[in-house]
Amino acid sequence: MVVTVTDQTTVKESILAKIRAVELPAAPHPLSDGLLADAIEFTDSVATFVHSAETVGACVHQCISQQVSEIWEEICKTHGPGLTAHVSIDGLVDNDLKEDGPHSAAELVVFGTSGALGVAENGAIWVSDEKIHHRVSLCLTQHLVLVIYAKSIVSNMHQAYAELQNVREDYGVFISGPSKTADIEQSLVIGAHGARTLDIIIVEE
Amino acid sequence: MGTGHPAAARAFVDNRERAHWHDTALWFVREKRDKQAASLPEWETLRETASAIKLHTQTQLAEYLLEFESEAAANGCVVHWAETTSELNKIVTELLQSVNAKDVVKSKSMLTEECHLNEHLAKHGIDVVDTDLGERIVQMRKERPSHIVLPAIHTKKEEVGELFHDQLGTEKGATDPQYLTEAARQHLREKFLNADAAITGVNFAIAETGGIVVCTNEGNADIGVSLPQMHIACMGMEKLIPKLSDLSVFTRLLARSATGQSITTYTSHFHKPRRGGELHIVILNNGRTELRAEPEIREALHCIRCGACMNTCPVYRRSGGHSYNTTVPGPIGSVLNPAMDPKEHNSLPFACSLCGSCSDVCPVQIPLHHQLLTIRHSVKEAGGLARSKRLAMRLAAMVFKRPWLYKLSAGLGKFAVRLTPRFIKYSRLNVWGKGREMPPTPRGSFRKWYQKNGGNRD
Repeated sequence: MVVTVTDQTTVKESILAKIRAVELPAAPHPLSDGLLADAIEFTDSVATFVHSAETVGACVHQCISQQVSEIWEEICKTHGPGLTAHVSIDGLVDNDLKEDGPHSAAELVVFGTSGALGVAENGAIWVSDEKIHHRVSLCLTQHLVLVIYAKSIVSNMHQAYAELQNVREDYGVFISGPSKTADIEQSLVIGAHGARTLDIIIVEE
Repeated sequence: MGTGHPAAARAFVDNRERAHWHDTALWFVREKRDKQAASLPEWETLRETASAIKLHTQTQLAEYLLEFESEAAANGCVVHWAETTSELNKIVTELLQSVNAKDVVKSKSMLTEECHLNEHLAKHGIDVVDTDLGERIVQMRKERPSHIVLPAIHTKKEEVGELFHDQLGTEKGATDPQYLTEAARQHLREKFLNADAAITGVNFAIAETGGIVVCTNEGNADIGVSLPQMHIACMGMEKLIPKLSDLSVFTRLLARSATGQSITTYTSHFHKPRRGGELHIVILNNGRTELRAEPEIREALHCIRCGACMNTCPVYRRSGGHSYNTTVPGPIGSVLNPAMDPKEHNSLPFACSLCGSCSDVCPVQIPLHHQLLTIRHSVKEAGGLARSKRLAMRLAAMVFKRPWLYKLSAGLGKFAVRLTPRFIKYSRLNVWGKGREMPPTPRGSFRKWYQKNGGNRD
């Protein structure tokens, strides 16, 4: 590398010096505890979540924990033959991709895993790559299945990030619906680069 | 003014049907934004809070940048600093060369557009493919994005169909967005799987945790960076926010303001590279410290690049993004560009009716129309006003300062307008009359009407 450590240190110090040369009047951070007072809360956050998720194109299944594996099998059958993998789904023995390279995920037809929480206001589910061998599986699979517990659904993003405090997953993502684009004349098309469909299984304990 | 925005907008404006179509498409997005804003009772509180977080960050920018760097390093990422765009280009080139990368995928990043990174890398034999569908379309058309969130909003599906027929072999005459998107999916999947490295922009960088957040609907950033060994994220220093929980405020505002979605499909938080990979973060200044030093322009650095000001701007909607000749067009572009390079962009603050709609929709409350007015003053002070405009303004000032003269000229003007032949009235001297008709002159005057119907004062 031609950019030497000294070069970088000089650039950094000069940028910081330019910033420090202009002292701005103090302005406190507006949120002391990270939460916004009066943020919208829903009386039935599960119902709101279902509505939000369906609005963004997800297919929602509500069931009890004993039914999860059956629904998973059904979804896999619907999407036809091909490679499937799943991680951290209650009632199912993990069956993740084993190959070293992440490119193996390109063959995935269905991938399933669990999300830590769901957000009612926008239908998003938080998923991290903690247990997943290749994080790209979440996006590169043709069809994605996410399982969440009904009790883990919060109303809004403030509550969601409050739950995620102190969590520094290598990679974590809020996924809201299947991948989409409207880049051609504002026409909504489901299935851009990521998963073409999203099935959400809400487990009601 | 014979050059600048009016000249660049002429061709677009002349095609009335197309200009109207463009106007309608963007207004549609603006209306979706309105619905989302109205759905949250706390919308204004959110905007205020977002603005206050950004302001707070600017007051302690150096400390937060250092915190970000050390936290990112602790996560196993490498932070690089670039004063200028050419420094950023150099850093990225050398990083890519270090892994012998030839084919690179990039997800949307206005910052790399600002740096003309693609062109620079091409000179070094590195091929960059833009993977956001809209960006891919403009890249294939050898254009630049005309909008920061909807890069191909100026393009019709017939044109995309023809482009894809020529370059991707889709059926001739096919214009169905579903079909064309599928073709792009297949084409770009191959690019993803064969990429040697990936470049992304950054929506938010978290000082507290050293992580970066990238928002997309297509999933192109997540796929792009998770396959090859190297991920390079390029960010302007204004992308920094203090805490992880601050994201709750910004993720609620960004997509609602941008496209009228409640959140983007993927809001991806990268704290560590993929297993066995490396993650480099390049922080760029390029004039941002100078903007920060300008009290009246400073707040433009709060911008989260949602594009809401463009969607609502009556000038942008009717003149198209390319007429601004900048990476970031529209109201925010008309502030940022002249502030950084006043000579090159001095017509932009005048591409504005001062209606103030941009300030009203801005999710971080940037007082855009006030800033545009401020920049107009600096353009005038620097002698950047056209002669015709200078003279007209001086004349108007003379008249408005003297009530008797105003009364006289208003009375005379009425007759003059009515009696002057068209060829003089709409001559080249009347720039305002281009493509516009003067309103019919009223019989009476407001002064007379007011004396009769209104108050007791003269």
